[in-house]
Amino acid sequence: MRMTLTLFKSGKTKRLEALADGTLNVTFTDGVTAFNGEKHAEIPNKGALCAQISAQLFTLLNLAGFNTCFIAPGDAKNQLVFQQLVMIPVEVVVRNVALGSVCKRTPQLPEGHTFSAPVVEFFLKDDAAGDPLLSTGVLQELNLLPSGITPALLERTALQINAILKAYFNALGIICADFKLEFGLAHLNGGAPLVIADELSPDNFRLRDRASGQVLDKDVFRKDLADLGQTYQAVYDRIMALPPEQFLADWQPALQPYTVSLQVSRRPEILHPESDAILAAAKALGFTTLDSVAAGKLFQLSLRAASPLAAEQQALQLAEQLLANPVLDNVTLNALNLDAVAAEPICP
Amino acid sequence: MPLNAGIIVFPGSNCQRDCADAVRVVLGTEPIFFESAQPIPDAQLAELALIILPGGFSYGDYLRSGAIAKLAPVMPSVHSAAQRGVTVLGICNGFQILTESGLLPGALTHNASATQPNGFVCNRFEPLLIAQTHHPFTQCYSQGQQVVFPVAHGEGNYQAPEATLDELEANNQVLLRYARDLNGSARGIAGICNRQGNVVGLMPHPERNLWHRPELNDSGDGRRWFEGLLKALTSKNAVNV
Repeated sequence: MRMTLTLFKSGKTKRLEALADGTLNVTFTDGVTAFNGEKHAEIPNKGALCAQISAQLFTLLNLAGFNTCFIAPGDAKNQLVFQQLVMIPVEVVVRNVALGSVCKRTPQLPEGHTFSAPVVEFFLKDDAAGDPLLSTGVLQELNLLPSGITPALLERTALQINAILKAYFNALGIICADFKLEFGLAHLNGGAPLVIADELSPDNFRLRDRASGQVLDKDVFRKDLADLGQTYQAVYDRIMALPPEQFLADWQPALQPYTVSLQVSRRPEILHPESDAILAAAKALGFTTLDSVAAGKLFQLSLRAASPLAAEQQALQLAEQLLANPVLDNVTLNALNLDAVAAEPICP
Repeated sequence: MPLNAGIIVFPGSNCQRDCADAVRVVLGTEPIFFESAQPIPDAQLAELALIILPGGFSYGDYLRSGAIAKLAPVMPSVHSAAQRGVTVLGICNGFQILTESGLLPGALTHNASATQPNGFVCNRFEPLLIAQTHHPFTQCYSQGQQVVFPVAHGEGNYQAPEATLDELEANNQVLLRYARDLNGSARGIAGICNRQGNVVGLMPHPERNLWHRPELNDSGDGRRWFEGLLKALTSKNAVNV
């Protein structure tokens, strides 16, 4: 099966216009929809609020070293200039607190339950089919991902983004319960990094005030809890009070425990007498169809790092400086396990 | 000016006394032993004309021979002396420490000879060939001369990328080769020096063959290895004075 990848295009709440230099002028509309378009309204100034909140959160991620589609503010308050991308037709959802569809689908999961470790889910972007949940197996079977992009990479990237967004909202007194990400690539010629696309606004985040539990996202519209314009304005005001530069200057990423298993083996072109001796002994035992043996060393490292990627880098650096000899050895990163993160009681 | 020689003792070194004999007998000076657990004090380091990393099994040869020793507190002193042009000689495990430290190119791995049984080699009379005679340690031999040094090692198989091997040859950095395929070493390499010539590593043990004793079949071939160094160091001193 082969799904087609398409360019970033106009949708329910954004109008796209290609600019002469190949970038996109994106206009955020005042429209708001829920339940797959069944409920619809126009909220004055909503487009501008979503555009400005997105710009601030994209800037935060850009400064933290992620690639995002955001290039610059646009001419109007409700416009942003984006990089054109080939879009991956998958919504990546990160959940810190169980709310919404995951609770409907899983009655055993009470609303407001804080996950012991963040959960990542994949959904197919297909309005007609109601954006169905995808297991990683089906995701791979549908060939939805460009070459070089794996479900594991999407998950790892989403978790890294979550670590920083969660901390940023936390600094604002807001619980980031869940959010949706979309990704694209600049081109399909191989080697292009994942780029965070779409928008980062209360339209695709679930946010709760940490002190009062007040709903600060599109749920106010879905459930008629409060005025959406006033709610988004409140989020905007809080976000603007903490510039990304200031947040990042103070941010010390919390270190989490990881276990990394590293395998060091002799490069195939270097003779390895130990492997050869084992092969000869095995053949003498009668294992005549055994063709080769590569004996190596396995290192199980328990370490603390800010992210899975940082844990991996730390392990590889140790391999480079001590565990492996670059002239003789190959290093394989065998497994990376995210230990259970201590549950934080963040949802009142 | 006296020829000050230091010998580094790692946990598991076992050839330091043989090295000390060579220093006493040939260089005529009493060597200073330095424990690897501390850096060499600057004042003492400045006086050293020679640092020897002796053979043995530093840190039990854990991980890879020399892999832990390269991180010993004494090693920054060795690096700084090497950078200033002080002669650094690594014999056997000392050679392995120098390659692991990056002071010499390449790596020493498990013996893998096509003709010898796999594993540890131990021979008191190993034939070797002098590969060049422009280096202090080899100047008292003749080009291509066959000498006999003891060998005793399990990981003496010298390996390096082809380009590095070509560079070693082109720059005359190969000092000593095995006269037969003893351990699988690339191009039969038994001893090399760095580009500047002051850092030298070899697997065989010249310090264990200092005496010509026909009754024991000892040729004493190792003595000229150190006599060459003495010649170079004394002429350097003469110039400096």
